[in-house]
Amino acid sequence: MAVMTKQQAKKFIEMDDYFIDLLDFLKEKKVLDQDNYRRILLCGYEFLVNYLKEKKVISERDAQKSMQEGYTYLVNALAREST
Amino acid sequence: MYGWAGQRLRIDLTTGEIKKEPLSYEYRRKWLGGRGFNSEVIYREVPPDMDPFDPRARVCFGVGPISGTAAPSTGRVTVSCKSPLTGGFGDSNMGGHWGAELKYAGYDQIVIQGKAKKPVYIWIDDDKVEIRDASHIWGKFPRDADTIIKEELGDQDIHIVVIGPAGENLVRFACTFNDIWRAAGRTGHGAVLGSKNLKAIAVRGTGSVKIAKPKEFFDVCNRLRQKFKTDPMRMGLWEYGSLCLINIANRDGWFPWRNFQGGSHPLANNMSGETHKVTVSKHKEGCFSCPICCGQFTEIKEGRWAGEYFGGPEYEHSVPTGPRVGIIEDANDIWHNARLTNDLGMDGIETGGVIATAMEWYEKGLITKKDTGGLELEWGNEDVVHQLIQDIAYRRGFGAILAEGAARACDKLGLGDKGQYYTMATRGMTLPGDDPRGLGFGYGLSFAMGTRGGCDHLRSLCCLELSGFLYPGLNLRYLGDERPAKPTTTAGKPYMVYYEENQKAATDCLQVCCFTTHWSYAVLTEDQVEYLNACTGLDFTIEEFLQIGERVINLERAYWARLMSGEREDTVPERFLKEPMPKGTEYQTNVGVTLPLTDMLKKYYRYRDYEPGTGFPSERKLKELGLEYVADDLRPLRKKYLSEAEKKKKKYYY
Repeated sequence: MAVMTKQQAKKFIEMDDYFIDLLDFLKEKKVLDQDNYRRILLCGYEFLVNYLKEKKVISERDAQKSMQEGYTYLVNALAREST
Repeated sequence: MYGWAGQRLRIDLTTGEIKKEPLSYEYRRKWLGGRGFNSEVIYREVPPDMDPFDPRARVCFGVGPISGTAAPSTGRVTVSCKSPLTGGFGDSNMGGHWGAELKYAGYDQIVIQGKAKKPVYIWIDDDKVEIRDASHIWGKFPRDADTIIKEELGDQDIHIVVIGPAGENLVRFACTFNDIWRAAGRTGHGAVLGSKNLKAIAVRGTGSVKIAKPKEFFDVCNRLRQKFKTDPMRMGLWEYGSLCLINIANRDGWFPWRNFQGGSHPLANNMSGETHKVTVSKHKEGCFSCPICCGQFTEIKEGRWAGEYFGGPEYEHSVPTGPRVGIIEDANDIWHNARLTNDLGMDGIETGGVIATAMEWYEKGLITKKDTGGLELEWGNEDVVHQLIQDIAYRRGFGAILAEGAARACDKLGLGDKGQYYTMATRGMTLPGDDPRGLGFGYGLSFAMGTRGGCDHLRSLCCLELSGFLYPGLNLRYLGDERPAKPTTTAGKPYMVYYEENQKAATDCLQVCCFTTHWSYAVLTEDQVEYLNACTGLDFTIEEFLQIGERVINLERAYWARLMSGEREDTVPERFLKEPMPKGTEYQTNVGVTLPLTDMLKKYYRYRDYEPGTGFPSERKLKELGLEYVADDLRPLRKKYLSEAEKKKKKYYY
């Protein structure tokens, strides 16, 4: 099941500074707990991608592409129905 | 114990008492070392209402668990105090070899308090510590005092921190040097040492640093040293020192021409690293265990200053008493002015900054020759700059007013808000020679938020926007976003500044040179944690390491909060906000740009969990960081900051 809608993904992509808004969103959706929220905020994007991969929210391939192409790929992946 | 020496040396110059205090495991794990140890002591032991020149005020010198080892660039030391320039939290950081020597002598930190009855210097010879007479070296330049002390102690291999005449005369931006030329430039701690009648601290250390896992430690050190061989930023720094930035600054419009009236000049190449190398470069020198070796030595070969020889200059040291005061045609004038500020023991940035401010006051008719004692403060007048640098150091004539720093000088001259506009300072300390309208909006944000005042390229060192393009994939890895690599965009900058500030603060606690971890990104955070764990035998995670940095920043921020400094003071000089960058050269890239600070600030506050309205760290964040006592200190102050009485106070310094 997708974590966000395509419209929500588009909103993140258009943001000037997206990171804390995305983490807040994922915490609200209970994808992130407080401890991981804090850890990822400190440690950065790569930690977010790895966490989402470990939790199988995104696939291994999506994780790789998210690191190659950045957060726009990631949020689109989060807006896709998982297979 | 591995890594750390495990003890602090406390010296009371009033009573002559010398104590060695153990540093517990919990303390070392929480604060790590260097800036962390120092900030913790300053917060706890120097109340916000104490005069920085009060004998009870502390000055701290801190090194870290890696100091003195074979990891890249581990010779640095942080010096911290309540700043006589800003009245708030102050620290600075210097390279050289003194930090490593202190560690070999068996200490992680020195805390100095009290005031000697007459000039003294401290001699630390491993576990023997003496307070010795310094009346015969009081008044000497750092290089001369260094020579005399070495002869007196009969050892040319000892390392010495010294103040110059400016520190002795309580110039509010006096600094310290070690190994003669390596400066801890900012925030005026040289004057605090001068107020204590302390001329120097000489150290000889014959011990060593115990490494928990030697093979693992040396494997990671060797791996990193190999990386440096082909590191792009390192190559520029090695070849030209930090003057490698001059032509880049000029092209991108952050070259500080005439107090930031402009961002470029057609003659900038006169003082570039490339020109310096072929005209006046004498030799190079590196700091302890450094693979970058950016230290340049200069010998002026012709003109009125022919024969002058000194260590340096750095970019930040040469632009303030060069282009910032309108001098660019004869680079020998710029090198001479840098040499002079070194020999007199003053922060080059602040010295040039206050002179440039005075020149703009003069240009705008706010002061006249009557105020300046007859000096004609015209842009580019080297005779006047040469005179004023000395008058400031010796507190003579108009120099005595400027020795107070630009913000206080403005008040003494009765120039009001109109004069303060030109001081180019935040919280009382002038910004370095990097115009954020060109260098980057992230820098601009970090200038506003820096926890030591007009900060500053060494607080967040937003190099992901300066040199990030040299390291493909790095912005994506940390930020998930390539947009922040563009300097004049706000995209991604609040998170970038938050991330870099934490990383930089943790690096300062480790006490390694940030040129290895920012500017050059040869050493990444995971490498730092790897060598930290191999050295200490502990199990730090990246999260814990970065959280230490976050803890230190919040503690320093809270120190300012106790002075009633918060959201209203989180700004930069209005020139950057209001005046579009004018065109200088044909190739300048940032014409028309102003710094859009407000929206970035709001987002940044969310990252930091600072309370809107006050800008104070939230109780929640302070408790998360184990700073409950700080939360208790700030609780009664939050409402006070929001009161009408406080809102009316305009604070340019404290």
